[in-house]
Amino acid sequence: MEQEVANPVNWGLVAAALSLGLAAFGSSSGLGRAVSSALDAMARQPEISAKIQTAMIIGCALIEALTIYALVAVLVVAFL
Amino acid sequence: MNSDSPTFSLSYAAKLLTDDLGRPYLELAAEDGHATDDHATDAHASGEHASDAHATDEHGADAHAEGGHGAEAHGDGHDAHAHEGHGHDDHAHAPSKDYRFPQEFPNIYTLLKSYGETHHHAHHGKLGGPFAVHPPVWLNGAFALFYGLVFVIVIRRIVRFWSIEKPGRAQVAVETLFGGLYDFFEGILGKDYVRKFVPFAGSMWIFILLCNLSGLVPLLKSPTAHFWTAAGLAGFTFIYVQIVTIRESGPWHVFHHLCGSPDSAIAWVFAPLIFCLELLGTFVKPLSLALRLSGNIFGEDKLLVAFLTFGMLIPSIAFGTPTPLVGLPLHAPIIVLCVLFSTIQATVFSLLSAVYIALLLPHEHHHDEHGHDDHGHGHADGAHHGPGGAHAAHA
Repeated sequence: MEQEVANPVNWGLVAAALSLGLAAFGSSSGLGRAVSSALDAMARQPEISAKIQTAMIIGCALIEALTIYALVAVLVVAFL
Repeated sequence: MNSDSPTFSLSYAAKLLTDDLGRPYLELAAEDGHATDDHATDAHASGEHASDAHATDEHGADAHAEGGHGAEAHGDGHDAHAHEGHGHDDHAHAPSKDYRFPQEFPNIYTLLKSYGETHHHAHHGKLGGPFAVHPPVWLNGAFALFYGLVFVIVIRRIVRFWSIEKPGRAQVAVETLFGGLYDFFEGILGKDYVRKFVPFAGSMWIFILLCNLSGLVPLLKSPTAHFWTAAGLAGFTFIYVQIVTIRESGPWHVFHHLCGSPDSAIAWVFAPLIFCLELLGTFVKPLSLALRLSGNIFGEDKLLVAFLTFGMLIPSIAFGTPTPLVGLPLHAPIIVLCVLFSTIQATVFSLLSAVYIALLLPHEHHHDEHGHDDHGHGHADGAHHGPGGAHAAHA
């Protein structure tokens, strides 16, 4: 009978997946704050809603980019 | 389905959805080993699971019938979905991690290549036909060039018929778009410089938007999903920004700005440190542009592939049949999301390119030099209208 080798946990993958979750948490909290302050500003001055919305979208894209960097790093770690 | 060919049978399809990430590859490969007995059936079955999930009736049947035999290692080392880090890097017979899901749906090149060559087949349960053709890197450049050429040629042919006195609906729509882009960049660059730089920023916007959206069209591929395409665009932006700002403001002003715009002796003490940081930032900003764009579009592509595959798998799981040519349209909301995010990414890329130019342009009205970590500058008065958008947007 063959001796079975225990399947070791690949901690690198676990770390990568957890880090991506952490990045998602950070970016979601930042995005929530950004959108919330944009909404407050729109409520105070509805006539410039378009400008505020544009600035909010741009800010959200910049914040989201950090999560994308984390995703790219995880893809590199996990698959290269 | 006979029990000899497990590909896309009920139990196998159930395994597809509940993949056991903890098990090593060789164990999975050993289980799938009996799938190699019937290359013909599983290649044919997976060959029908074709590129035409979007219900375009191609010569799908003959193409995939011919793509039936031969060996093709689809999972190369440089695939994004290669082996897990177990150290079992046997390309010869261990399947790659993602052999059950397609990486990217076929485009014109892979379709034609799989039609022409007959040695692309399903290996170890991998998908065959056009899915087994690994698109080469230069294909991204070819598609990008193709979109640029098509756009320029089509627009030139159409604009000849446009008139100023009686514009048609299409002309009004395009002019509205162009006017919107002009106003958008005027808020960033200021009235004095917008005419000079809106061709660059606007063309960048249109080109990136075309490239991004083409990933949603059935037989096309979005070149911006590949990092090096986005890096090429960002590299061009980098070079253009340096040349233009040095030409407009002069080297001293650029250097002064990169040192943090010191106005006193104390500030000059910190100038070397700030200069090093700003120099690093000058190189990192295009890199971030490229990563942001390529990461987003790559993620959109994968999301679309995942939902298309689910749409095809769910009927096959429910009825135990081979995956159908056309699946459920579960990817409909994903298309909307992809269109939205493609537009946003094109906007952000071109906007940030314009911002990097605007930051280093000479501002005659702008006497208070702002520090780079000072976001609170309100440029509410009209004299500071020009670069105000730049500093507000440069988070």
